[in-house]
Amino acid sequence: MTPDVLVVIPAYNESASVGAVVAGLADAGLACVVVDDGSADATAATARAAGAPVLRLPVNLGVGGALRCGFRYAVEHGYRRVVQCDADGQHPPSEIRHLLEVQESTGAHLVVGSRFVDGAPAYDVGRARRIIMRALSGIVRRRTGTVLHDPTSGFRCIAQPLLGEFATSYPVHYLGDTFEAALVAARSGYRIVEAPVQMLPRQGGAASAGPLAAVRFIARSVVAALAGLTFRIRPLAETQP
Amino acid sequence: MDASVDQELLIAGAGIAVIVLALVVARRRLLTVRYAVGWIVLGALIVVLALCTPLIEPVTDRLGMTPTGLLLFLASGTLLLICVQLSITASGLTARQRDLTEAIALLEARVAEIEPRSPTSDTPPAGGTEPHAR
Repeated sequence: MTPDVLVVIPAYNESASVGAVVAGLADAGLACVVVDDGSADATAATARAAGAPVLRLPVNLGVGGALRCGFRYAVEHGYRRVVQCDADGQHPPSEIRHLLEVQESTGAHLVVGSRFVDGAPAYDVGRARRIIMRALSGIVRRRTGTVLHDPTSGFRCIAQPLLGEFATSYPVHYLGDTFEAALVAARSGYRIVEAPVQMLPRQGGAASAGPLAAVRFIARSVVAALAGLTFRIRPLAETQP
Repeated sequence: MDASVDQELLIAGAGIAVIVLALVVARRRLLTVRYAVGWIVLGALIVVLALCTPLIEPVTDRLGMTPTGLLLFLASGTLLLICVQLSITASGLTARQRDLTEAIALLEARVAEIEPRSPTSDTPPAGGTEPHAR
């Protein structure tokens, strides 16, 4: 068991895969909490049957809302580190261990699991997505000097004191919970590193992608990049006692 | 009566309509008093400005506008401001709803910890909820 770590799993209509994910984490000795983001299916019941505590949001808040709720739960229960992980089985427990090892060896407040770092197998993403990701990581690099090849990765490890800040203030809008959160954390003085990770194909459910997905992704990315920083956290220096 | 007087009467009538509408809606409790007062004041202002054109004559003369044109301009500006104000209110309500939703989920989990055998209902709300933009 790794007592100070909690794996937070936001889940929206993931009853097909969430049970296996919870069981896999239990086998690996990792505590987890499933945040059921207003699902219409049996996500909460499946996760509870698999032995995980479940935070059931009565209405759908989006990934950012589900994550903040999970962060709050982690802080209330005294966990020092959180790994956020998808409910569709894309992030195997071995890679969660890898993120935690990187966090320990670097002492970073935010470790972003990246699919594009050297040594990690390239992941098949569409061309539009790749161009946008390059643009977003350019923004992060120019504004903060931090290199993030995969700024939209939803596979990350967050450590105190950043965890406490995110439990208080975390955006819900598109790209806010990934790109913008990393940008704001870097600008507020928190240390960010990225770690190469391997991601598996989805184990169940359907990816939220369609013919118009690329166009919508670009449009929303531009809005997110222009809108800039819409939330604030206390800088690192102020969180020290 | 010349056309400009007709226009002023029409605008004043619209102002009275706003007041009546606000009163009716407030009496049916579809509108809180706080908002009803605002609409009534706005309606009264429209009536006064439409019927007492000498009040706005210095402005219309200076800008070379008719009183009707000036009132239309002011009306569109007011509508814009009201829309912005409503969006701000809606954003605040969304943030509050989010806080409450998270608090409920955390409380429910605590209750489940305290009463492990109580059959917490895992049935999703009827039809689930519409997904937020993801």
